[in-house]
Amino acid sequence: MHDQLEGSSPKIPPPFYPATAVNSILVQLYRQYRHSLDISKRQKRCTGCDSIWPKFLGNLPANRSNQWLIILFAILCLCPSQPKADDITKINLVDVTDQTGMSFVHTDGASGRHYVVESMLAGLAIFDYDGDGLLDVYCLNGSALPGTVVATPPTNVLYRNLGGFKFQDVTEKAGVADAGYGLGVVAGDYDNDGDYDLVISNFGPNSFYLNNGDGTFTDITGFTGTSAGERFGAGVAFLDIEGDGDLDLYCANYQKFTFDQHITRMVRGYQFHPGPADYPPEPDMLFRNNGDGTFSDISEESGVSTVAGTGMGVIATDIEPDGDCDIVVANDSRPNFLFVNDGQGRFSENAMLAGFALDRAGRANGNMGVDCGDADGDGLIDIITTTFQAEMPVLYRNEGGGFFADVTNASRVSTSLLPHVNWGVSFTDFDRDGDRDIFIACGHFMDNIQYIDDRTTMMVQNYLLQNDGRGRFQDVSPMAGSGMQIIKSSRGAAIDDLDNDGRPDAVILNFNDQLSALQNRSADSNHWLGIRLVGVTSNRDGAGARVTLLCNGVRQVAEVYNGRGYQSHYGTQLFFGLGADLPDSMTVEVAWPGGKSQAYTITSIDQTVLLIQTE
Amino acid sequence: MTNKKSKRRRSSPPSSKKPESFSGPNRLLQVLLAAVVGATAIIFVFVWMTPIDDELEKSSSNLAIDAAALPTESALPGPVVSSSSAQIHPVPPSEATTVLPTEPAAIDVAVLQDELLGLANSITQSYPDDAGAFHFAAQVHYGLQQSQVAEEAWRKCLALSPTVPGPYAGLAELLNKSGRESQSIELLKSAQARGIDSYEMALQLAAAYENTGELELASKSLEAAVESYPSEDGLWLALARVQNQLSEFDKAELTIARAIELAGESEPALFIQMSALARQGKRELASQTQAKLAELNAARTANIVQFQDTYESVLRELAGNAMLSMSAVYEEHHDLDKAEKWLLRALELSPDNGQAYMSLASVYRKQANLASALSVHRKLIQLQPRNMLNYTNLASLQLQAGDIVQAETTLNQAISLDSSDVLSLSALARLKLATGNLAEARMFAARVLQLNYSVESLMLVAVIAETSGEIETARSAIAEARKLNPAHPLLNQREESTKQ
Repeated sequence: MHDQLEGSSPKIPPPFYPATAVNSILVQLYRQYRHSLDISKRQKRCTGCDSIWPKFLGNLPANRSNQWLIILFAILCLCPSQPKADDITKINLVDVTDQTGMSFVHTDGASGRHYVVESMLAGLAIFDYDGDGLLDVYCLNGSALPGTVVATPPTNVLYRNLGGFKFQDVTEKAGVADAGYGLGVVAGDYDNDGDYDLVISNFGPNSFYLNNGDGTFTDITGFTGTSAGERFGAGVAFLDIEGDGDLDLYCANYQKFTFDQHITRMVRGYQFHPGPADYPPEPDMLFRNNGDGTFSDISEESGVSTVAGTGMGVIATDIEPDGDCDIVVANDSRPNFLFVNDGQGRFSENAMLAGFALDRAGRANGNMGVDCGDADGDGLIDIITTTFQAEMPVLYRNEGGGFFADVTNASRVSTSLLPHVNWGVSFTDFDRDGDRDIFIACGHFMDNIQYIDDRTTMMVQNYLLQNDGRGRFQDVSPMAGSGMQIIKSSRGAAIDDLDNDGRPDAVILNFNDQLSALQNRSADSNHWLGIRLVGVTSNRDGAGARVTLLCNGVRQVAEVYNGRGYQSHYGTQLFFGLGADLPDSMTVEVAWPGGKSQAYTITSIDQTVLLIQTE
Repeated sequence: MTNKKSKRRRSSPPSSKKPESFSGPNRLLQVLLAAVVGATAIIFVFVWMTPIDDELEKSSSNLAIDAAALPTESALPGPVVSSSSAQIHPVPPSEATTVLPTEPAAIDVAVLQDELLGLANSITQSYPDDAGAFHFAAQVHYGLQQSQVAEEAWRKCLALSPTVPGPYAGLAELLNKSGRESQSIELLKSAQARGIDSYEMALQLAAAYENTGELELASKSLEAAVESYPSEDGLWLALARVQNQLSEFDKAELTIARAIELAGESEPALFIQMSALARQGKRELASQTQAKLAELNAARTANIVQFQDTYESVLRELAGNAMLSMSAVYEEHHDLDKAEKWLLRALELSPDNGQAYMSLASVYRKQANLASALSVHRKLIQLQPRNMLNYTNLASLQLQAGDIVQAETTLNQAISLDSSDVLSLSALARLKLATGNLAEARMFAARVLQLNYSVESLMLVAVIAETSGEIETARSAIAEARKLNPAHPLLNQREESTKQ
C-alpha cells in the first residue's frame, strides 16, 4: 500500500502510467486531444457551462488520426460510466452519513441557560489510531452543565475505520470515552513510539491519552503535567518549538469564565449566549516536552502568556520560513496572534505589524477556525480564518518577509458567506487539480437567530469554494454534490482521505445533531500523490515539516500540521493533486523541523508514499 | 430716503423731552402706548433680523446668512408689520407647559423594540403616499435587522420618490450587507445616471465593488467621489483601504493622511496607515503608528461594557433617532401634537439629544407655545453652552415674549463666553439700536465689522449710522457693501424700499 522511500536523487523513468487507471488508454487519448487544442493545464470549465461537445463540432480537424481521436472521445462522452469532459474538475461530495455507521450526535449540554461555553462547541480528529493504514474519526462531545440532569453522561466517541467507508464505535474498548466538555483536540506521537496520542482541550482540565499501541489508550494527564487546571479550553496544537525532535503542546484559552459569573443577554426579547466581550480574555499556554513523558509549563518564559486573547483555532506553521515553528492563533473579536519563534522556543507576538491581527478594514473579527495553505501557488503559506455573522472569512496572503495582506476581496471569496457564522475550515485540493480549494462549515448557535437577524438562520449550508488556480475562488457549493446540500449547524470539519481512494473526504461535527460524512466522488481523471512523513531525528509525525513538490514545472508546498481548522485535527498525511497530465518530472523536497532538507525519488503516483527521514 | 427717515422717526423711542401732550391724567396711557410701540419696534427689528436657526453646527463667525432665509423687508427699522410668525405672546417664562426629562428613562429592550416597530408600521399606514414615512420605516427595520421588511420599505420609498439619495444609500447598504452587491451596483449606477448622487451613495457603490473584488473599479469610483465630496473622511478612508489592497502603498499613505486630517486618528485609520508604512519598509514610522493603535485598542477594550449594556445603548440611540425622524414626518404633515409627542419620547430616552431639543423648539414655535419653546432653548444652552446660536435663538424668543431685558442679558451672556461671536454681537447691536442706545449699537456694529467684513456687517453699520444722523458714514458703508457684492439681496431690498 505504501512505498517506503528513503531520501535519494529524484528520477522519474518513462513511461509514467497511473497505477490504477482502468481506462487509461481512453484517458490518454483525451489528454492528447486537449494538448492538440492547447488548453492550459490549469484551465477549469464552469460546471454547467458550455460543454466541450460544441468545440468538437466546430473544430473538426482535417487530419484523420485526430478525427479518429475525436470520434473515440465522442463515444467516450456517450458512455454513462465514463466521466464527461466537463466533469473533469467538478467536485462531488456525497452525503454517505447513513451508510457509515457513525451515528454520533453531539450535545452542547442542553442546560437551557445559554452558558457561553454552549456557543463554542467542538472540533474532531481524523487520525490512524491503530496504525492499520485507515484513518479513524474521533468526535468531541459536550457534557452535562449545571442545570442539566442526564441519565447517561455523554462522552467523546472514537470510530474505527473498517474500510469501504464503514466505521465502528470502539470508544469503550479504546478507553477514550472522555466525559469532559470537549472543545479542541489534537493527535500526535508525543513519545515518538510510532502511534498517535491524543490531547483533548476541555472546558475544565485537559485530558491527555497515551496510545498503548494495541488499540487502547491510557489517561496520563496527571503524569504529563498538562492538565492546566480549570480553564476554558479551545484549540490545541502539537509542534516542535526548539527542533529537539519531540512534540511540545500549545493550548489556546478562550476567556476567564466560571458558572457563577454567568449572565444572560437579551436581544429583542430572545435570550442570547454571552460572548467574547462579556468576560476577561485569558493568556494561552505552552508546554515543553521534557522528553521523559512529562511536560513543563513554559507559558511565561516562552513569551506566549505576555498577551491575553480569546483563542479559538490554533495552527503551528513556519511563517518566514526559517526552519522553526511559529504559532498562529485565531482570537474571537480580538486581534489575532502571530507568535514568531526565535528558533529556541521563545516567541514574540507580531501579528499587528505583520498584517494578520486585523482584517483589511482594521476590524478585529470574531475569528473561529484557522487553516494554512498555499492559496495562490506562489510557494508561500497563506492563512484563512473563519468568522462570526456579518463578517467575511478572511484570507491572508503571505507576501513574504513576514507580511500578510488581506486579499479576501481580491480573491473573490463569495460574499454570500457574509451573513453566516463560520467555523471549520480547510485548504484542500478536492478536485486534485493542483490548487487548494476551501471548505467552510457554517451554522449559528441560536435557534431563534432569524428573529434577531433575518439574513441568517441557525442551520445553513456549508460552503465549498473552488480555486481557479490563481488564488481566486468560486462558490461551487450548489453543484458539488448532495453533501453540500446538507442544512445543519456545523462546527468542526475534518478533511482527509477516509477510503484511501486518493480523494479527500470530509467529516463535519454538527451542533446538537448527528455528524455528517461526505465521500468525495469527484471525477476520477486527475492524479494525486499522498505523502506521509516519518521523522527520525525530527519528531516522528514530521509536524512542522515543509514539503515542496515540483511536478511538470508546477510547484506545490504543504506543511504537516498537528492541530488545525476549528479546534480539530486532520490532514497530517499530506495530499497533492497533480491534475490530469501524467508527470514528466517530479521532485519532492522535505524541509524537516530543525532545518535539514532532503530530496526524494517518487516513482509512482496515485498512491500514498512514506518518506522517512535519514540522519 | 426722506420717507424712510420719517418712518424711522415715527418708530423711534420717545425723546427724553416730554411733549406737552404727555402731561396730565393721560400721561400714563400715553407712556404705555409709547412703550408698546417701542417694544413692537424692537421685536420687529430683532425678530426679522435674527432668524432662528436650528443648525447645531452653524458657524457663529459668519454673517453671510443664506439670502433665501433673509427677511424681505428693509434692514432698517420700519413700521410694525404683523405676520403669522411674529405674533406677540408675552408669556412669562415661568408658565412653560412642558417638563423636560433630566435623566434617561430605563428601557425594556423588548418593549422598546416593539414600540419602534409599531411606529414604523403606523407611520406608513398613516401616510401611505409619503416617501419619507417609508424611508423612516426602512431605517427602523434595518436597524433592527429585519432586512426583508426594510428592503420592501425602501423600494416602496423609491417608487414614491425616486430622486432622493438617502433611500438609495440605505437600500444599497442593505444589499451589500446581504452579499447582494451586484444588485446594489445596478441600483446605484442607475440612480447616478439620472443625476442622483450623494457621498453615502458613493461610499456604498465603492463598497460593492470592493467586496466583489473589483478593486480597480472601487478605486476609480472613490477617486471621483473624493473630488466631489472632499471633506467626507469616510471616502478617503475607503480609498486608502482599497489602495492598500491594490498594493498602492505610497498612495494609501497619502490618502489615509487626509482621512486622519479630517476626522482624527481612529483605529481603522491607524491600521491602514500602519499597513501602508510597513509595506513600504518604513518600519520605524509603522511601529510608531502601531503604538498609537495599541493605545487606542487598549483604551477601547478596557472600557468594553457588557454586551447587554452595549446593546441597550445602541438600541436607545437607534430609537431616539427613529423618533426624531418620525416627528419630522409628522411635523411635515402639520400634525404637531404627534411631532411633539415623539420628540418628548426621544428625549426620555436621551435627555442630551440636542437635535431633539432643536426640533421640539421648532414645534413649539409653530404651536405658538412660546413658554415651552423658551424652556427648551434654555435647556439647549445648558447642553451646548458653547453653541452661540442657542443664545441668539433664545434671545429672539425672549423678545417675542416681550422680555427685552432678558434678551439683552442672554446676548451679553453669549458675548461673555465668546467675545468674537459675530451673531451675538450683531444681534446685540440691533437690540441696542432698537432701544435707542445708539452709542453702544455703533460700538457693537464696529466690532462686528472688524470680525466679519461683509455686506451684512456694512449694512448694519449703515443702518446705525443713518439712525444716528451720520449720513456720510452710512453712505460710505453702503458704497463699500456695493463694492463687495453689488447683487447682494440686502442692497437690492434697500434700493427697492428707497424707491418706495
